[in-house]
Amino acid sequence: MPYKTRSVISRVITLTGLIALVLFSWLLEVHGYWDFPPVPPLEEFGNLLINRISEKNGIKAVTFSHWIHRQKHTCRVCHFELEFNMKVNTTEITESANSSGKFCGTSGCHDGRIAFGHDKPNCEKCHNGNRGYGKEKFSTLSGLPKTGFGNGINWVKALKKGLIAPAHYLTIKPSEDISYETTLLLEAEWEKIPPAIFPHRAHTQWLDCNNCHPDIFNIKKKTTKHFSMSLNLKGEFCGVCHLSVAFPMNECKRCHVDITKETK
Amino acid sequence: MKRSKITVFLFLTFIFILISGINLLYPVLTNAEDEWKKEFEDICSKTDIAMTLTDDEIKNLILRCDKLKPSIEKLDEAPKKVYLKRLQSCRDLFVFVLESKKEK
Amino acid sequence: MRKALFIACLIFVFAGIVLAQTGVKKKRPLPYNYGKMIINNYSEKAEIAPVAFDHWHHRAKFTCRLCHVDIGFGMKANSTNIRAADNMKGFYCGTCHNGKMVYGNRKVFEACSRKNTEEDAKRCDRCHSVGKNVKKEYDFYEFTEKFPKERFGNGINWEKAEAEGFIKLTDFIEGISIKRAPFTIQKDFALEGKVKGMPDIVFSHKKHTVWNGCEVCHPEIFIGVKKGATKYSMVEIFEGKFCGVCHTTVAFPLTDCQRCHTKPVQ
Repeated sequence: MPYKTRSVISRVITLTGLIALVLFSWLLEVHGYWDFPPVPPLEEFGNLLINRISEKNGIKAVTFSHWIHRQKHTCRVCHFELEFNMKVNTTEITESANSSGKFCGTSGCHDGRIAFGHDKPNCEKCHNGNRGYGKEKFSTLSGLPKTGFGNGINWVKALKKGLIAPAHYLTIKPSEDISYETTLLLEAEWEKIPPAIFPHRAHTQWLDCNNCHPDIFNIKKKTTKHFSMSLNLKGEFCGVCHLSVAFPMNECKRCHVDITKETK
Repeated sequence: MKRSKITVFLFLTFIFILISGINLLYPVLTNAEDEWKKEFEDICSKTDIAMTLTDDEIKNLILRCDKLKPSIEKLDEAPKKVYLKRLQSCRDLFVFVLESKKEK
Repeated sequence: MRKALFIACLIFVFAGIVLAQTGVKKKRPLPYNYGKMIINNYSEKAEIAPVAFDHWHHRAKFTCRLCHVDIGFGMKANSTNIRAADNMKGFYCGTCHNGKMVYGNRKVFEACSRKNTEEDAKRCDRCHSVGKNVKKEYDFYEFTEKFPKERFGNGINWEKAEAEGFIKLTDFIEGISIKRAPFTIQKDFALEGKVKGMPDIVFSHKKHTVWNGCEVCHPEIFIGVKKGATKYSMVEIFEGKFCGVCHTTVAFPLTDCQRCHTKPVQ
């Protein structure tokens, strides 16, 4: 085959491939797919395996349980003060950073005084590669208010009733002057679905403003119309937290409060 | 033989004139450079205290900026770029201060 | 043609990534990458790697004003159009990086040499380092080890570092800077929060003028002086305008809400 024809053919193939790719991604985006992520056992919801460099260095991945940690500290402490990113394996946690008092090893956390430290006998408490590690402790949460989703626990209610008292800061005390409490009403995409409510207050009890603004939610009001359910379900916007840690979106009624069995 | 002597003489005279010419001209040349720089430095040293000057003083500074601009435009490309920008930012600041004082 | 197609594909993929990342958390830059600027006006066209400029190392030695007023660097990366020839003639980077200036006990290396020896080529990499694995002369963690720390940005409290004498900032270079009359510091002022529940901000002129002087901000970044003359919103600041010119890139980042939304600023 002459070279020119060949290159033309290869170009046509590449272009067709590209167009197919565009169409495919468009279809995914517009029509979405309504599969909720698989539901893990209650005691494994919010559990992570952190494996950025562990296995590469011949050590087992780190198990991390959100439900253990959120009893004692709010999201703000780790995701703001300690600078943990919101996506697993994106924070440069290293053994030396931990031992020098950053990330997990921050004073007041796994410093060897408040919680177990970074010395030999403790390695396997985290580096065990077992997502379900520590599940025997889950029964200690039996006294907390129930829901049918996520960990099966209504954490917001538990906090409100004072059944848990997570620390909201280690060193950076949240400003008492900032008291943004507006509840937003978010119109649904479809007529039959009642609007979702968004209470700032329930979120600021756990989070700092900058956990969500401006990265996840730009404060330009008009952009909210861009956060469709399909995007939420892909792990953006509300889905950053409400798929894997905070109550999952299967619990329609928590946001779309007036939803009924029928509209579902 | 005679001819070559004359050539040497002429050559030496030429060199002498050249050297003395440069020597005579040199201060003028460097002065020309110094002059715009001095004026520039004098004008732009006032930015930090601009808020304390009177309107007329500031207006005068702005005029001096405009007067200095053509001599900076004659410089080589690199110093022209740098000093035009610096002069402009001084001038902009003076205008800004003048306007802000008016508003007050 | 192949190359063009490849580039088109790349652009497409990147655009896809950018579009897809609307509602997720951005990855925070690492402490030593905060304030890193990529300068590429002419580099790649001249088939040389773009320049990676580290603010942290320069701000540990010089005030903002020295470079952004006296030397004439713009406030946005790539707005200055620095040419190699400018540096060779002793402007921009070449003001200090001329192979002659002495800082501390060492000579500042020369930027953009005319010579073309192997030794010179090695020096090019010190700045033209994007995409290369260049070992820097100074290690961030070693250099900043004793500095007072804070969260976010470079993880360093620069103001405190200066106050406690860990860094000493040069504000004057002979022949470049202008001897100025001593400063008259302007009054601080309050900016009203726009939404209920957000406290006013008390802006401190003093904090800002020590390193910046006046011209860095006025009038290029902040036009109006009369209270409320320049109307700016958080949306614009997040987009890198007004306070965001510095506080999204070099100075402490905007994520530290309560450092400004408090009276007075911290």
